[in-house]
Amino acid sequence: MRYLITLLFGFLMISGFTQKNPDVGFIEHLMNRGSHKEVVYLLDRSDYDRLPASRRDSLNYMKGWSLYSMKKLQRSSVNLEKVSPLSRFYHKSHFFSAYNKAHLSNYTEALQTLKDIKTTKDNLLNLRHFEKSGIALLQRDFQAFSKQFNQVDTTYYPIAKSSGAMKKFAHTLKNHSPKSPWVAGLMSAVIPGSGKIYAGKTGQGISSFLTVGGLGFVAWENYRKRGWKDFKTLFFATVFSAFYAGNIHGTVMTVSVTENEFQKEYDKKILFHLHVPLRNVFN
Amino acid sequence: MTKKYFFIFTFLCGMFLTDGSAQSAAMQKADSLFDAGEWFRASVEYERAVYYEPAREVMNEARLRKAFSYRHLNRYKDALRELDRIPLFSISDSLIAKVLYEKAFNLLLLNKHEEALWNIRRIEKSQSGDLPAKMVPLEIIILNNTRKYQQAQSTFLSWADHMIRDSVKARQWKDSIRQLYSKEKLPKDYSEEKARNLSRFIPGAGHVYAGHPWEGAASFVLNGAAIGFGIHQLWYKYYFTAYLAGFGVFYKSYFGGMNRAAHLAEIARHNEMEAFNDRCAALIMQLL
Repeated sequence: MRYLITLLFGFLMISGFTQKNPDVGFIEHLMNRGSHKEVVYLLDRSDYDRLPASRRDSLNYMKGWSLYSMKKLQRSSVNLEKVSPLSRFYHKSHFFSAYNKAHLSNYTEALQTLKDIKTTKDNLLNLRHFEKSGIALLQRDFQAFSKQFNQVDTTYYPIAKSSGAMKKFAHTLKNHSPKSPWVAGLMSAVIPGSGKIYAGKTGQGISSFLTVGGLGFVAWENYRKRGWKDFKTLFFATVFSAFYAGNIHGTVMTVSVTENEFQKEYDKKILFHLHVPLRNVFN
Repeated sequence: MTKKYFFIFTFLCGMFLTDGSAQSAAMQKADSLFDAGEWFRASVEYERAVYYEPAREVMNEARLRKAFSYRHLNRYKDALRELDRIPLFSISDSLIAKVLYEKAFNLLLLNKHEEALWNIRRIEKSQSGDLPAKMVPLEIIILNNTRKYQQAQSTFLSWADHMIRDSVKARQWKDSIRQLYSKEKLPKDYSEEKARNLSRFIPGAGHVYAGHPWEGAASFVLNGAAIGFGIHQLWYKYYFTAYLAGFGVFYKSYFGGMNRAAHLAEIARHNEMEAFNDRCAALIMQLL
């Protein structure tokens, strides 16, 4: 019997030492101090799967939130989604997980996460519609946007301001017609730089007009006074031709770059206004 | 710039660490991690000691050592933030000196020399006017960086006096120090404004002033060629060619040259100070 007790005691000691239980109080202290890197480091080295559900939820939330603060959104999402409905951090974790996914352009997964959130509270249902409408707008799915946005109570104060902005974005994006690269190229072929002005880059357009136009005048002046066969005429004509052709090519590229910038700028604005209500509701 | 003589102060930091204050288990673990060069892990363990330690003295010691760890991780701003957590009004004079020393060191590494010097002066005040001998090397380097050479020299000389007992050796060392601070060996204070103005009047002159004669010559030739071509074209009534290919190129290279000269002066000033501090640090190392 004595040997059995000694053996049991030894086993408990060994298992106690090998399993690294996280120091929850200390981790919480680190989190409150904003030492997110340290929180992730400690939790990465801890084995907390066997801990009671409530404690595990808190740790998953802390790790997910720290990763979110460190902008490691993919990993943050994974940890935040582990938080169970029993936890007081459940809703915050899952809403932020969906937001992370939207930020990473995983729109389908983000919508699924929002759909899976268990809630009957009016404010959270409202928030869910709002987030879904924003994600639909990120997908440029205006029908889905309208469907979700119509269910949002825009008078609910944490959402009110952002819903106004979201409505404006939807209107702008819906009525936005992208510029044609062909038209821009053609315009720059006729008047250098005009295609860039058409694409919305006025400064670049004026600069191109002055450069290409100036080089054109130089080539023309040399041609008029020296004739075609003179080296200087050929040199300046070559430089002018290269700049002229390059400007047309640049204009065509500018159109797609400008369009891309426009879309990205709106994505950024939408994500910002998806984030504001989350902060308002959960902080 | 300051990395090369980092080791001097690391050595001093080692002296601080081995002070025999009361140590908790967390502190001991953190110290062993620190000694093993595991600075990030050490910083976490020091924070754990701060969290659990009821004694304020040990808590503040842990904060100080956490700042050491951050310095090793090149997180100087975090180190300063950590040091700011230590309430200076309720700690011993020796700990005040260590905290202010560490602040000065991190500020030096952040190139905030005047602020670093101010912290050194605070140490002197807290120690009734005298800076502990082991802290003087840092003061010398900071004074060098603030270009207060005369003050740096006299501080270095009195420190050498304190460090060397043998009067013959002391005289030799003092000669070396005086030689180090002799006028011709002091780092040149290249002025960006002067380099810019020199290039304004003679293109390329600013480059020569900053120690790049070939680049200066090339700049002079390029500017000369551009303006010469412009005048030539103007003379033969090629107005567009003169304006764009001549004066246009000159305009770009003239102003670009001025900016380049100023940049070269800035680099030269930095390099001069670095070389001087290397010589100074080598001398300090020999004395330690």
